[in-house]
Amino acid sequence: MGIFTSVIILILVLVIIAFMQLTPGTFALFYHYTLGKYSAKKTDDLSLSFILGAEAFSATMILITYFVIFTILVSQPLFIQNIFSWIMAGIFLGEAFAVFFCYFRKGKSTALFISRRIAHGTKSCISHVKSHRDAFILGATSSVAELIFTIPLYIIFTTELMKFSTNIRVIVATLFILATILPLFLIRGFYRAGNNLAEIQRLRVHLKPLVRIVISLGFIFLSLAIINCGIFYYG
Amino acid sequence: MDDTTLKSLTRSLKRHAHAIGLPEGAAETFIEKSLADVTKKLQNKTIITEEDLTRAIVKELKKYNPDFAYVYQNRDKII
Repeated sequence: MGIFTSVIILILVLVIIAFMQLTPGTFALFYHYTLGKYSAKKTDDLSLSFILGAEAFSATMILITYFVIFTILVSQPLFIQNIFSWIMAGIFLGEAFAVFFCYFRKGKSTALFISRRIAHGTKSCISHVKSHRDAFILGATSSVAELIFTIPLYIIFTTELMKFSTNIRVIVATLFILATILPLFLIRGFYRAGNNLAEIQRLRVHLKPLVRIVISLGFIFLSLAIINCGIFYYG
Repeated sequence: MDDTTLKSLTRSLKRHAHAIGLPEGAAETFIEKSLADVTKKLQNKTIITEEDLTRAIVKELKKYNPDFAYVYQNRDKII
């Protein structure tokens, strides 16, 4: 499989990760609630801690999946790698359908698949954020519930990453982390430009069908790429 | 509606109003007016669910600021 195909797959993974909605939704709510309690300057500072937390989580997940693949999967016989490929292809296909039908709840909102108890718990945590530490932890844990969709993305990303030299790996991993936090900087930019949660939320609801289609199609393409390009064959 | 509920609702609405960027004085005035109207409308109901309360508050807030009403109505539907 050529470098060009690897680059396409990496770009696709970056796009899908950037379109995921749990962390941006949590961040939008966090910024709104913090703005209601504190000054604009303090809210801005706390938002940077949130973003740093999200970055730290993303980096940790890349390292963990890299370690798991490097120590366990690479040394497996070819037939195990073959089985793993088919399982991953099936997972991506299943997730494509799951995202299209179940990622967002019904109705004119951006309420996600996560249980309402977890959503209320997150909202409660958001309203009690007081320090940079709280904001960092909130940012780091905001995407845990979405791991069911993002773990396969991390696996395929780190697998493709291993095909590049060490220097390129660092650059690509940095780009990946930037892709996960780009939506947060966009939302922060919206707030700083004078918009409020109502305007941001109306935009998110308007873009909901696009998000659903992009993520589903992305997963379908990745599933086909796994089958056709032998992504999980480590030699 | 008892005093504790009214106080906590007022505090929550003030925070939302501050986050939206509404001037403090104006926000306080229409929050008080909205809650007074809501209390009057719901006083004959024996059971008031959270949905009833939210619906009534949103209906009143829409008269003053649609963004404020939208945020309050959708506060549990962001994530």
